[in-house]
Amino acid sequence: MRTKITDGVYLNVITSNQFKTTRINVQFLAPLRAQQSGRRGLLTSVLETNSAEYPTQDQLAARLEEMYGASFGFGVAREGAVHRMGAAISVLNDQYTDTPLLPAAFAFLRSVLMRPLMQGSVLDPATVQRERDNLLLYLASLKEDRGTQAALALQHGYFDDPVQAAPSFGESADIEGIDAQTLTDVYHDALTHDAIEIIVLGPVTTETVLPLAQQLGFAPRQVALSPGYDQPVHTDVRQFHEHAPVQQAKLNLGYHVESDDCGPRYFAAMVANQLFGGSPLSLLFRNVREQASLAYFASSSLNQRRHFMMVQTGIEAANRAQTEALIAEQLDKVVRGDFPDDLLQTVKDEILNGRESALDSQRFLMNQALTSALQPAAALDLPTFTARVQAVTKADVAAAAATFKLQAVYLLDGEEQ
Amino acid sequence: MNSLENIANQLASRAFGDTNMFDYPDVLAELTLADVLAAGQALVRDDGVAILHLLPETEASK
Amino acid sequence: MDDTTKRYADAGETLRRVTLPNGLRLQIVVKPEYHKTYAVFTTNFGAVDDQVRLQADAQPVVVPAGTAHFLEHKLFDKADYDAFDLFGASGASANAFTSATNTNYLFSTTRNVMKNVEILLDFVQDPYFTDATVAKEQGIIGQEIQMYDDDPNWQAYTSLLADMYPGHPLSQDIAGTVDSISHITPAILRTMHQAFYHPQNMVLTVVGNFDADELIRVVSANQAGKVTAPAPQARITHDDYDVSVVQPYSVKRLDIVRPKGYVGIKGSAPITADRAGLRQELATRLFLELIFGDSGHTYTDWYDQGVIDDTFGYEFNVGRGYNFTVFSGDATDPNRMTNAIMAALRNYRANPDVNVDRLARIIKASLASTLPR
Repeated sequence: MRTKITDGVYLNVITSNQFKTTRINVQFLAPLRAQQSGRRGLLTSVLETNSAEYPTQDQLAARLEEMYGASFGFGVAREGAVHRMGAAISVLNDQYTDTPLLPAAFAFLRSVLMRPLMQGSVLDPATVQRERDNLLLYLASLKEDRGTQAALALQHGYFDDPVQAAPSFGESADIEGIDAQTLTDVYHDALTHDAIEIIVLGPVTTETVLPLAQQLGFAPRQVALSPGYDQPVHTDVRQFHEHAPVQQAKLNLGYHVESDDCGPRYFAAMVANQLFGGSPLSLLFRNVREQASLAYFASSSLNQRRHFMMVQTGIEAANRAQTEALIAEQLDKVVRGDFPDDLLQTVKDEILNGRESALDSQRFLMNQALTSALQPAAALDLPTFTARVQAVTKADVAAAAATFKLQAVYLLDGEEQ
Repeated sequence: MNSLENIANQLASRAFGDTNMFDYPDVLAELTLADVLAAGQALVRDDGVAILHLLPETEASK
Repeated sequence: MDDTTKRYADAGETLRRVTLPNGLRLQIVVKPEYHKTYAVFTTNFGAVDDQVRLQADAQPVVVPAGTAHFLEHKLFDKADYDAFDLFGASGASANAFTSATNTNYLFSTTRNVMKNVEILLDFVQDPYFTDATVAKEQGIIGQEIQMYDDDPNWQAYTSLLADMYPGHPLSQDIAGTVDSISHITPAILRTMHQAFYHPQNMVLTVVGNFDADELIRVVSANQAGKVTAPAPQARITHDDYDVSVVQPYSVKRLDIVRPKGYVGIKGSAPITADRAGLRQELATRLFLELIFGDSGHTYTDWYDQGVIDDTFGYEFNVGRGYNFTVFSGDATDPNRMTNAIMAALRNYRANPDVNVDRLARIIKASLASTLPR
């Protein structure tokens, strides 16, 4: 149930007796802006480390231990054209503890969000500097994971908008040399201008949770968020090639995808992606990996809010051309409707199995609340979701796949000899 | 990790011994500082230690 | 047929254990409030099991590194079907993984639980290996090995294990090498399947929303319809607690940005698989948490001084025939980091973080993280 606390601040309570823990998530939502991704990411590292009440890491960790081993952390993510950062805490339910933990959990969140460790009127400079330097080292080391390097590079090449082209956690340039004052401005900006969605999942009701959520003390704010990002389809395919001493080459492809806001085309694209490369039964997995032994992995992932699909493969560099041709051939099969009817039903069943199974996932249930808040049309109950998926025909899938337009290709392979 | 997977995988990993993950809470509740220090003493030795440093390549080592 | 049910009040769970006439064991946890069921079929055979004695007095046969993992991949492929397709048609999603001591085949589903259980039992117990399918898999697994070769942390961890366990299967990658898997043949796969995929060596674990009595009936009927070969030969174990063979120091250079430090401590004595062993295992983890956990001064001081960052971690790993501790993390100065770890271990008696109150708090906290959920 969604309840307004004040302008721009909402409480979403999902009552469930299924789990042993209660989860609280406080999400800060803002339009995606240049530089802010990295800066907000750094802010979450700082807020996660200490607070006025728990000025050192060990004191913060000790408090969580006292709360029967509560788990706590911040995360950042991008949802289309929205940047979100969130503080999450998870505590055991009352039957497993001597004292009820929910009030303490909210008090902890209030401490880290509302009363960070300050020196005068700025965030503690020593903490800011240390977290900044660690984050810069981390960003520089991302390419040690070649899969990540290749995925980020493909996205960087595909997206026209620089903010979309950057990772959701930002880039080094966002935070190089940043000082405590500037980061404090980012903090105040988020606190006063972000849309706030507080999500609670557990054996609780809005009545019991509302006073606790109100005590977090968020002031009213006006926010305009547009959830999606789209860009024009280009006639040319951009090519990117990087070298590194790798044994396995990474070949990634980026496609523009047409979609509607959870209407029939959304579901057609979902099924088309699953059939093309989203599942171990898909054409990519079957034909590129299993039949041709060309790749250890060959899969596709779809992000409809960004109108974007990415194919990722790990291959022998010498097989690049053959792999690209085989991938194109699989997509062409989907476009022509050249796939068995029972495969269509199987991938639909797979999607539905996943959706039903997700009801057992606290993370999914909480994300649903967020989706419901951001895009009410997108939050569908299980029967409606099921009906929409089952309604997708072979012709719908073919039509959806016909809109998958290759826009960018990225290859990471061994050093030139 | 979703809880059913967690329970099943942990049960499976201990399936060939005499204890399982559901024993953890009462075994933990029995442990004293003396037990923990005894475990530490068994662990800490000068022999049997391997140290490895993983370093970036230098121009010379490439 | 043995059939016992035990309620674990502190964990809030009930476990039913059944042993079938052919030796197969079931572990059953019914959770009616959940929507799905997750089943895993496990054999007590993994990467460390590289030898088998085919007859009582015969010389052991040694198989190439990566055989257990290769076998796991290959079992999905049959003459006239692929197990993934069968699961898909029954609305389940399937997977498998190989560890040092076990191989696991699993599915997750919200429908047709019993049908999927039968698919699981049948495809794992019914081997089919040909030269063509083996050759194809060598290509795919070769790709997988190369992918892990590109992972610097994986490379370092494997090197560290090789430094602690030279000449032992633990020093090999679970998937083997491109060369070692080129020596795997259908005959080798059949031999290992026959030796180790015996019902007496296997456990089926099912957790979720299903009827336990129905499961037992279905599995019993399925197994009763199968011819069970004689019990496998006694396992040849590779117990290794010899600390004198450990390589104390090595340096590796790879194309990385951030230096990394690792400390491995080889276990010098076995930890038993009974309650006493579990006590020792958990006590060891608590010891490590007391010294190195983030609610202690050691971690915070090191973090603030840049000796470590939040990639710092440690684990105590117990398996059939071995146990070891590994510390790892990124560090601007890995030497400083590994020296600090050794000093903290040597000086634990003088460490003010080691006290009754902190231990009580950590135990209280670990109850939550070990609570099955």
